[in-house]
Amino acid sequence: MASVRAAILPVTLLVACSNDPVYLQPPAALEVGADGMTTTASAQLTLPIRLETEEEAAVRAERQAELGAMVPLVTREALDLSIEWTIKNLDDQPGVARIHLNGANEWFAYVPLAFVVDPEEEEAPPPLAGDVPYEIPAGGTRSGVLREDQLAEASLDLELISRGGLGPFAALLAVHDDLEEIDVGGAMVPVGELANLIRFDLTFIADRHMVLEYTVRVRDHRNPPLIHPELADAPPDELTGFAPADYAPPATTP
Amino acid sequence: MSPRCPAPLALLAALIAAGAAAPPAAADSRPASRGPYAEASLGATGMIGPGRTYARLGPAFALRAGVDLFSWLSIGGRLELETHEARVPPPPEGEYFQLLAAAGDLRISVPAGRFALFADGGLGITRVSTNILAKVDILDPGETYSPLLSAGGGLEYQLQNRHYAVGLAGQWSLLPAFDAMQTVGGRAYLRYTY
Repeated sequence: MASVRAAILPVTLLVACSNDPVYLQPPAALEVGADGMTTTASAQLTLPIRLETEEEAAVRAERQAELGAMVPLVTREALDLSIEWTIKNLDDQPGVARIHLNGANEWFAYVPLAFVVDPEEEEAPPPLAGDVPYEIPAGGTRSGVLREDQLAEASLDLELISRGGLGPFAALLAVHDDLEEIDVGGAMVPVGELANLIRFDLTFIADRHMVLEYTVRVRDHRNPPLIHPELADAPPDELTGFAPADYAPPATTP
Repeated sequence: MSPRCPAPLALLAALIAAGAAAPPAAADSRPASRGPYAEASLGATGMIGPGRTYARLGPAFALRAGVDLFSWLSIGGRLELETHEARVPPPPEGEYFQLLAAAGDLRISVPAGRFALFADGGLGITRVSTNILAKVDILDPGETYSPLLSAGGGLEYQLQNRHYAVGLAGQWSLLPAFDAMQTVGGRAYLRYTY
């Protein structure tokens, strides 16, 4: 019996290991209010995605032909993403802080202001995730998570807004976890094969001197993993260079 | 070898000497089977040294199999899994990592009736499940594996059935590639000898 267990255990553990998270540390924290004036700070973090193998490219091309729509390298089902954060209030007064999470998939970036034609008349649509006000006591600390389901919804919303042609308010103010596929230019694409976020655009807003530290947590289900093992230290020529365009809505978008 | 571990190594050396000197008659007095064996253990492991502040004490499981070459000497291999809560500066918070090790080892026993005092030493490889300890520079980018050196000892009690024994053991391990991180743990085990 023990020898059977000894044979089964490594297999079990290898399967478990395929779901182990990887933590990506940003180069720096976001700080606002150090000078008593700034209230926002922004940063971008792009996932270090390795180069696509020839075999993967062939499978993807075949799938694209089958679906009649573009299939990304980094699909929603390939990565589970979350962001863990900690806000420190360095001021001697309590304050309020917000985190806006926007970002990009490998084709499009979501920029809320791109949807505003007249800034005096129109309100910018909400970010892909976040925008919750957090009260932080003087000298206090608060931690939280933008969960995997929230970022999965964010990636779906970006696809709905860009390739799905849905307005940002309609996409962002509803939860679409019951969707199984979406219409992409007449082709029905399963939600798991839509594009995942590959870049995070974080904006930290606070009315006091505060610091936001964050970590991106990735569970990579692709074999071999999509995330380069050397993470931020990976040689640039071993990474896929994505160039997502800021999504510009058609003029007729309501 | 690290100068921080003289006690386990000294114990191992003493037991090797004692085992080598033990007369066969004394070994035969042990009412135990001898031959291929399998062992399962459950215990707890913690970090010592520089990494001690970055991981909490965690459960550890191990399966070991091998063969008794003599009543006082056995060789074997083992698979170990331990899990720890990371205590790196947040974020992240409340995250866990696992250490999975595979090693070969050598065990020297000094039987005394139903009891046996033993020491063992091993050499193998360890895999860490996540890079969370990179935040505190214990891991380098992309680093997942480390050689493993271990030494330990314990006390074994032979049950009335000559195939079964139970024991308590302690083990110290050094992971040179993980910033020379060290672990120390204790475990209870059940051993079956065919």
